[in-house]
Amino acid sequence: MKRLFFRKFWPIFLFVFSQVLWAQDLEHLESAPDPTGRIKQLKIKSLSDLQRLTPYESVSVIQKRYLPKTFRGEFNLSASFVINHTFFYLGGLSAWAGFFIREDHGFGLEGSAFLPAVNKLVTNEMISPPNKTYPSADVFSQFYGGAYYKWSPIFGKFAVLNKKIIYFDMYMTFGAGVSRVIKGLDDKTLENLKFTKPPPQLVKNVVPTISLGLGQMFAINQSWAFNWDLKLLYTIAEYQNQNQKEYYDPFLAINLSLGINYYFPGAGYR
Amino acid sequence: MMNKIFIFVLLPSLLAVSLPASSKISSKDYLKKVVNIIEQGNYLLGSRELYRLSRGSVYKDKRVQIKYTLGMAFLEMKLYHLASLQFVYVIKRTRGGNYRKKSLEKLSLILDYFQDDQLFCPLGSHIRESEYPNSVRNQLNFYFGKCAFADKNFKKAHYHFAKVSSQSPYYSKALYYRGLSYAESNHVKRSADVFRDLASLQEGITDTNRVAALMGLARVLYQGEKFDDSINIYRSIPRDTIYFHDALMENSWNYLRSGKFRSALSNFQTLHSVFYKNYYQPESLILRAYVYLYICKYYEMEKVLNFFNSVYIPLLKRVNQSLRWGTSYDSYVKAALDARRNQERGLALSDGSALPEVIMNRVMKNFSFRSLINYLDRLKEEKALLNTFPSEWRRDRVGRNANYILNRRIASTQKAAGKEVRNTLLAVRVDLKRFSTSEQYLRYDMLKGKREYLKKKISKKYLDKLQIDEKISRSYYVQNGYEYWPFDGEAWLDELGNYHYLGKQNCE
Repeated sequence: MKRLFFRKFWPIFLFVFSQVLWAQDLEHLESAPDPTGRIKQLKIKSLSDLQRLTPYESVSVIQKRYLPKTFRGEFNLSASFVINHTFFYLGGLSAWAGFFIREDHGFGLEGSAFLPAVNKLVTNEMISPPNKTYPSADVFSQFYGGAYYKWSPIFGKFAVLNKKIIYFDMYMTFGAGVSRVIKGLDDKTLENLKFTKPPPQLVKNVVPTISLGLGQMFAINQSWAFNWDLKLLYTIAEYQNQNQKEYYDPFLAINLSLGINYYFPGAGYR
Repeated sequence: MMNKIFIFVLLPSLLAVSLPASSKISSKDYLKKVVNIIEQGNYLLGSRELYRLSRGSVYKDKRVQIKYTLGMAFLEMKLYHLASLQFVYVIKRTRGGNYRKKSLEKLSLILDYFQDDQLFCPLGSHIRESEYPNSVRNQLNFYFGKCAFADKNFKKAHYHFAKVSSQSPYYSKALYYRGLSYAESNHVKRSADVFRDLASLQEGITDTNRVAALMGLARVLYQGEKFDDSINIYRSIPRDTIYFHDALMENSWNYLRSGKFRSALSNFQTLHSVFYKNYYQPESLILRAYVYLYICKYYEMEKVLNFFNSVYIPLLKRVNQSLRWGTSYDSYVKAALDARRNQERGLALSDGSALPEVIMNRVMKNFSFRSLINYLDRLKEEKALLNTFPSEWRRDRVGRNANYILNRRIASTQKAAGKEVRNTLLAVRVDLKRFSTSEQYLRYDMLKGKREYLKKKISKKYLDKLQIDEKISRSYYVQNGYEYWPFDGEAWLDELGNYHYLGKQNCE
């Protein structure tokens, strides 16, 4: 990666972009001359050295965005995985549809749906004899639907093997919605296992959720982009224990999505 | 594949079949039998016999038919140059008739294949417009228009180009040449209208005809001293086309003429980037020095002039060496072909090559030279094909003659290409001498400016005052849909043409 530029959110940039390295074209390592004295010392050996006659701060690059987003719709479809559940493997699909009012501001609707949970090895060992222990974090969000606001404060580009330039945007999302929460172990399994201490019951399936996301899209062309997205879904599940006492148990799911974005209508310029 | 099977397997066996012993050249139906052989697809044998007949006196009155049939046989054998000579003969020796019409059609096809009108232009005086076959009417009008344009007969050129139908694939090219011929005859407005029409016809942003039309339009507007309009057109040239570098260079003149020095310097930032380091651009150096002179940046100006001297004065010496008496045209062409080969492989030209890479790049931009080189390639392909024919055919009179004609043609084309290289070198020499004179004038102005600056510095007048544009704020707003990168000395391909110079001038 050869160059990055960021507007306002440099701490996130530093945090997330551990993979990003600043690299300079060796030919241009020498800094720009100042107009008052150092130009006299400059040795111009090739045509491209003439670029150094102008102080670098006196030259800016202003160009049209490769993949413009203003007043364009965005549609995404991704494969999604919950990467922090202790007891289950969870995979599904997520999608969002949004609209940008500026290059760095957009909003839209998002949703995700997960397939039935697959027990991890630790879960099977816990619930099987002789342990027969019920997993404490037994729920997951099967469906999530909500609205979001997207802010893209960071943009940049990098060169792949000095052959192709790829533009990217980094964004954050802030959203809220509702989740359908279910237990990872289905009723039939629970019945068969016959725990000595009955597990708590969910009071409500549909509960409010807030989401916080961080992602990056890499332009493939002016309409398509590859996207990764890391989303934190904070959901408060409501339980009832064997004493009929209700209590709240919040959980945090971290969803990693890998997918494709489509921007429409087509970009009006090259 | 089928052609190769035909040449290598079937033809030798067919060649072994000769005409019946009873057949004599003097017999009345001999020609008919030979034509039958051609019709049956035995072109090797047929061409041998037809060639014999065309040289003899027995069928003197049927020579046009023989030549036409021989041309058709050569055409089938993919010996296009040899075929074209037969058709030219038919056209020149007839005043009408079917053979003449068909020969014109076939010759047009060959013309498209070679993209070279050397053979064709001299036929203009032999063909009346009413004779143009409908199937190739547009094509002939286009090519004859081009011939007239090359002869600087613009009135005749307009006439022919105007006759090309808008439905024809030659229409865009004809329109382009029409615009050019108006510009050459100093009809600026008409020329601009034609280029505008052409640009609006093409849909693809990078369509060569569209971009060429825009370039033509921008040049015409510059010619008409409409600098701002010309600037806008130049700026619409896409950077991923071959015209982009020229557009930047030419637009710099526009900026200079309209006093937009910052914009001119922005262009130089692109022109003098690493991507164009092997381009021949003494003009942009001189122009940059002019701009520095206008904004009183004498040290920068001196660097540019020194660089010009260090690169282009030795280059002028090398060009003079190359132009010295005794350098053969072949050696020019060989150097150019080496350069082309290296370009295709993405390699740099070695220091030991006959001409420096900067000059070769300039030569390769010469359209006539490129056409000749393409024509030469086609002729060489034809020669290689000829060498795959059975030795019996090659040893025959027709084979020997074909070989002789092709060799002669290759030699003459090589000479013409060599002449083009030489002409380019002569133009480069004239250019460099002219720029060298400009450099000396500029250096004089620079020294004068420096002296004034030092005088003021000594009297402390200069330092106490603010520079002219010191108070002007250079803050700018990057619009939505645009992005901003601070320049840090890196050259990125996608940034070419997007540099913005925000520096200040030093004039008091």
